[in-house]
Amino acid sequence: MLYAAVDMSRCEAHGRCNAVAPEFFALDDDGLSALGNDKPVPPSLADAARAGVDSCPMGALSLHQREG
Amino acid sequence: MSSTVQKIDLWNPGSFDHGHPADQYRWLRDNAPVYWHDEPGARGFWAVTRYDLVKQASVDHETYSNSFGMTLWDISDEELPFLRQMMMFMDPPEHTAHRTLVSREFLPRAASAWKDVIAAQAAEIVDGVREKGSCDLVADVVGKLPSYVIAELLGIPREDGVRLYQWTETMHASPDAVTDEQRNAATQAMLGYCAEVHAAKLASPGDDLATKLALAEVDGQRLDPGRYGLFLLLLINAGGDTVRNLLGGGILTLLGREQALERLRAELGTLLPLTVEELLRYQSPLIHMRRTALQDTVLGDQQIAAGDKVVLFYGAANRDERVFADPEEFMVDRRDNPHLAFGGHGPHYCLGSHFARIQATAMLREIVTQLPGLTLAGEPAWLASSMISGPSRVPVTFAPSVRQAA
Repeated sequence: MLYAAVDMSRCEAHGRCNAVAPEFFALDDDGLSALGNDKPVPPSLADAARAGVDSCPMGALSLHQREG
Repeated sequence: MSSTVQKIDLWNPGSFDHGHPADQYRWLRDNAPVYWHDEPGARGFWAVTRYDLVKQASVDHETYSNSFGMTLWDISDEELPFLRQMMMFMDPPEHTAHRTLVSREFLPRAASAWKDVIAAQAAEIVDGVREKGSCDLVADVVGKLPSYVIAELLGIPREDGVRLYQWTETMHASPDAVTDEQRNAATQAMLGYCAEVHAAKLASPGDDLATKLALAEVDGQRLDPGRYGLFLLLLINAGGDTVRNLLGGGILTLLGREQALERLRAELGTLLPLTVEELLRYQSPLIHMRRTALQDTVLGDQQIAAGDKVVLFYGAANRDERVFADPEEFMVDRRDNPHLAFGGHGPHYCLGSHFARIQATAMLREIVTQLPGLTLAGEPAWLASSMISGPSRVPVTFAPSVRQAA
């Protein structure tokens, strides 16, 4: 299973992830990532998640594979 | 693999006259994406031209440091300690502590609040030329907007914003255009002005960026006047030239492509945001930023030694056919456009990117809708610089008009 995570010490609220893939990347009221630490990526949104991760100018987003 | 070996010279400002050297870039990406480049009077540098490698080095600040300067030419040992008090010469965590002082003011929410003010400034600037029927688009129109915006942001008079901008021009000019004395005089003049602002804002605080920066603390300490001046200088320098050259070069690109310009006018609502991104990609006003390897490492197929200069060429990355379809084509409707015009991601990613987008959008809208029959009316002149790409003069004519009430 593919999971996505944000490193909040790096998130600066540029909002690019949400601009590129709003269906997967939500923002909070301050414009910071609301992704959390371990969000499962449905197979149908894998491409969107990858595009969002690549778009982050701060390199704050990441994907990882994990069992279960 | 391309068999035609280009003459490679990314050091010479002449290579950037009339735009990015697309042929050199293509050859480098295909044949030597991390290329050892000779440098007159110095040891040389690695030129990085492929998208993935530019991004890789930008993100990895633990290997690729800013602390030796961000120009491909060297900073003298005498100047370095002074300049290291400026955010651009810092690495995390010190860099982060400084960036956090102002980052909120530049992020999408804060920047969006300025949209109407910036749109009104762009309209006022265009109104200043529209009845004349001709102008220099760089000096009379696009160059004015960033100085007005910085004045508004800092809470200083607009005339002072224009003055700061003129000093920026001198500081960024090529070595053959100004003497070292002139450049140093401009730097000192700007730092002197910043010191006056510092004192004035502490004595009489306002609701502006210059005041917030004067009152902000790093590790419980306010910035001393020297660091404050360098911080302000960085904000002024980084925001002035870049927007002017993005727009000056961008309009020039559009003027040479009548069909693209017509389409943009006809479908402005949909195409304006896409065109701004395409101008950022195609124009890439910032040609390079340099890092210095702190340890031995490998980038692409090359062994990099500790102390080597690693120079990232954003215009080359932004023409990488591995990422962009038909990269040499300028498309007003390009959708998949993850350009690196604001830097290759990582801690030094352009803090002003959202302001830059707002300014570019407002000014482009004004120029394409309010200056009917806009035509190039003479040979444009280009900056002779291997750092900043853009025209220094773009003479244009258009049908004189007055603004119609909305």
